[in-house]
Amino acid sequence: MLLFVARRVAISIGMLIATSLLIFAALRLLPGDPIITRLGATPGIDSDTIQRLREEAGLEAPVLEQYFRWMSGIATGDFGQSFFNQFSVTELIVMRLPATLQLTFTGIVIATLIAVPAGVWASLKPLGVVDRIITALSTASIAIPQFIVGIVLILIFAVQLQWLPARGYVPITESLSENLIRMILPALTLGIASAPLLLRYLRATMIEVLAAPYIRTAVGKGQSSSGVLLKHALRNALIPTLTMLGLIVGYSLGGVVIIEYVFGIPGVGSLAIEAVFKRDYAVLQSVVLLVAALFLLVSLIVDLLYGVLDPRLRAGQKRG
Amino acid sequence: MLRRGSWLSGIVIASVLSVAGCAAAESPTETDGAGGGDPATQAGGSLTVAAAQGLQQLNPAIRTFAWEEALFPLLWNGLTTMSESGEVVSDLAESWSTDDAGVWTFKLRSGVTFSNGDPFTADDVVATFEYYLDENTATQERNKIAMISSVVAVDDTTVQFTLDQPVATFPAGIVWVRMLHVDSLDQIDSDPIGTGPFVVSSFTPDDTLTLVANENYFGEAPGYDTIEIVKAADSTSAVTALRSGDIDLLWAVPQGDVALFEGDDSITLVRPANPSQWPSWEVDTESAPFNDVRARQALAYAIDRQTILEAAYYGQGFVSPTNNALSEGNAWFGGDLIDYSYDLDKAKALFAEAGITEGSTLTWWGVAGQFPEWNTSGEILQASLKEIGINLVIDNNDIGTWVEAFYPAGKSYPGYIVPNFQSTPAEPAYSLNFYLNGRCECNWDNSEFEQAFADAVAETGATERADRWATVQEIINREVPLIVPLQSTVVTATSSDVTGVWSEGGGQLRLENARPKG
Repeated sequence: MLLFVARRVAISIGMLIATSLLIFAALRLLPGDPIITRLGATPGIDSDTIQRLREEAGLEAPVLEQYFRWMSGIATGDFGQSFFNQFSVTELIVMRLPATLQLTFTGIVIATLIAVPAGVWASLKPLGVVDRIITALSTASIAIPQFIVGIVLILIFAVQLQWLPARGYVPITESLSENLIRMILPALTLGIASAPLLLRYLRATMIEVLAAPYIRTAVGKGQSSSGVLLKHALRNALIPTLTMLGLIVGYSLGGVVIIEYVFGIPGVGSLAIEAVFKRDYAVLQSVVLLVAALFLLVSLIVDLLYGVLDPRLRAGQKRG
Repeated sequence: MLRRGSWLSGIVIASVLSVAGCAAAESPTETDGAGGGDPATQAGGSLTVAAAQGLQQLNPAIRTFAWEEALFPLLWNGLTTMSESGEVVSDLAESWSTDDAGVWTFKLRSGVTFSNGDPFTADDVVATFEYYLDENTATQERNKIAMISSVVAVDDTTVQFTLDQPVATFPAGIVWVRMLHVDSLDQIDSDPIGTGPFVVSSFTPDDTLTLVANENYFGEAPGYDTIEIVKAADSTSAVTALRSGDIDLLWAVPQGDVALFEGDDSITLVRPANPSQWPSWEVDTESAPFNDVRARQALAYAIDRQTILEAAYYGQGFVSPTNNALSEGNAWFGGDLIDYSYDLDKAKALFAEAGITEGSTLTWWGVAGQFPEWNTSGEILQASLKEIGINLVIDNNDIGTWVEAFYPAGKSYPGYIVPNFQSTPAEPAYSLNFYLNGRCECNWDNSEFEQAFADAVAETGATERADRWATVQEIINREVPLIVPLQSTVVTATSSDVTGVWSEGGGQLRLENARPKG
C-alpha cells in the first residue's frame, strides 16, 4: 500500500509540474497585460511609467526566469503577489478556499443523498415507470443550466417564502447558524446539478451488477432482497461510481463559478475567473496549480477507497 | 466594469466657482460629508450595498475602477468635497483663499484625528500631496495637480499651494485627493487609516468589504453601524436579492433592468441630478482614415443617437446631437455648435471626401461578455453604415486584449472605432481635459484647443470663463476628436427603507449620509 501511495504521489508531482508549465505558458501566450489592465487605461500614464511598473512586478525578466522564480517561491511556500492589491496569493486563496471546500462538500453530500436512492430505485425495474420518471427528471436536470436552478430556488425560498437568504456567505468562525443557513440554497443547487451524473452512472452500474451471476447466487441462497441489494449489488456498484464522484468533487473544487456568482459566495472559482480577465498571472497560475493538486488528491483518496471497498484490489496491490 | 481614468477623475461642480480674490467671498458653505441626514430617520443597523463588480484594492490614489470611488467619502476626506447640489464645499479645509489663482491657502479644521488616533495636521496634507505627485505613484489625480510647484505647511492648520500657472478651479481639482496616513500605506489594503466616518473591519478583495463606524470620526456619527459592500456578479440574482431584502442597495443597475423597478414602492431609484457619464468612441486621429476631420465628422453624422439611446441604453440618458461631452444641462454648455443629428446623406458625402467609399471596411473594437450596450451600439452603427455601403466589422474581445490595442495614448489603430465611456465631473476643466494631448488615446494634438483650454482654466471671472469654455467646445465640436453619442444615466436602486443616498453626475455613489428611515 505504501509503495502504491508513494508511486501515486510521485506521478502526481510530475503531473503538477506539467500543469504548472502549461498554465504558465498559456498565460504568457494570451494577449493582454496585467499592468495595463491594472491601470484600467488611466489617462495620462506614460509608457515609461508602465515600463517601470512592469519591471517592479518582475514581468520584464526572461520568461524562464519568471517561471523558476515562481517555482522556487512555491517550494518555500511563497505563491507570489497579486498585481492588483497588497495581498499575497496565499492570503487570497486562504480567504476563499473555505467557502469552496464547504460548498463542494455539502453539495456532494446532497447529490449523493439524491443520486444513490434514486439510482438504486430506478435500477430495480429498468424501463419501468419509476425508471422512466427518474431518467426524465435527471435528463431535465442536466439540461437546465445551474444559474436557472439557482435563480428558481432564490425566487421560491428567498423571495416568495422568505425562508432563506438569497445570497451571501458568513464564515463558520463568525456564525455557524448563519453559515449553514446561507449555504443551503447554493449547496442544493450544486447537489441538483451534480446528482444526475452520479445517478445515471449508478443506475447503469446497478443494472449491470444486478444481472451478474453472484446476485443470482445470493438470491438462491435465500438472502433477503434488501440484503442482496445493499450488501451485494450496491456495494459493488458503488466502486466504479466512486470514480464519477471523484470527478464531480474535482470539478466542483475547480470552481462552480456560476453558483458562486448567483449566491455571492467568495470561492476559488470566481477568484480564478477574475484573475483570467485581469491577467493576474500570479493568482491564476497558483490557483490552477492548487486546484490540480486538490484534484489529484481526491483521485488518490478515491483509489485508496477502492481498496477499502474491494478487498480484491488490496490483494492485487500486495501482489504488485 | 472597467472605467477610464478621466472619467474617474474630478468632481462635479455645476455651480460657478468665483475666485475673485476675496477670501470671504470664497468661503464655502459649511455643509460637509459628515453632517446632514433626514431628521425623520434613525441611526444604527447594517446597510448591504451591492455592485456587479468587486473592490480590488483600497488605495484611493491608485484607484482604477469607478466603483472604488464609493469608498472615497466613507473612509477618507479631501480638503474639499462636492455637495449634492454640485458646489465645492469644505471637507477637511474650513476655508480657502487666493489672490490670483496662482497661490492658494487652505485653513484646516482643528481637532481632526485619523482612525488610529493620530492627529491630522498640515504636515499630513503636505505628505499626501507629495505622495500623489510622486512619479512612482500611478495616480490619475496627478494630471489635475501637476501644476503644483510647492505645498507648504504654514502652521498646523494652514497649508499653502503655489502653482506653476493660475488655476481658477483648483479647489475643484483636489476634491478626489484624499488625505492619507502616508506612513501606513504599506497596510492600506488590510488596515487602512483614514479620517472618514467608517473604518475597514474586513476585506476580501473582489468580493466583500465590511466597514464599521469610526469612533474617532470628527463629524456626526454615520447613520449605519456597519456597511457591507458586496459583489453581485449576476445581475438577475442581484435584482431578486434586492427584492428579497438581502441587499439594500444596488449600484449601476443594468439599464435593461431599470424598468423592473419603475413603480415599485419598495424600491427607490436614485439618479444623478445632472448626468456626466458619456460613452466615448475613440478613433486614431493620427492615422488614416480618421486623421481626416471629414471622416470623423462623417462618423458623427452616421450615428443614430436616438435609436442607440433607446435600444442600447434603454432610454437611460440624453442624446448629444452636438457630440459634446458636456450635457445640455451643464452650466458650462455653450458655443456655436454644429448639430450632428443623424444624417446619412451628409455622412456619405463626407466619408467619400475623406476617401471612405462604398465597400470600405471599418472595425468596431469592443469588449466581449460585458457592456452589452456597447455591442448594441455597434450593431446599430453597423446597420447605419451598411445603408451607405460601408462595412463595419464587429470584433469583441476580452478586456485585456481590448485595452492593449489602443492604450496608452500614442498607439496606432487605423480604421478602428473603440467604444469606451467616461465618468467625469460636470466641471469642464476635469472632463474636457480628456482631450488634451497625451491623455486621449485618440491621439488628438491640436494647439488651438490646448491654448483655449489653458485660457479657460486660468480665467478667474465666471462670465469670461463661460465664454472661454464655449470656445473650447466649438473647437472640439468642429474637430470631432471623439464620438460622444449621448450622456448616460447611472441608476442606483435602493430599498425604500434607506434614505440619504445620492449620486454624483458620473454615477459616483455617495453613502456617507445614508441612514435608515425612522
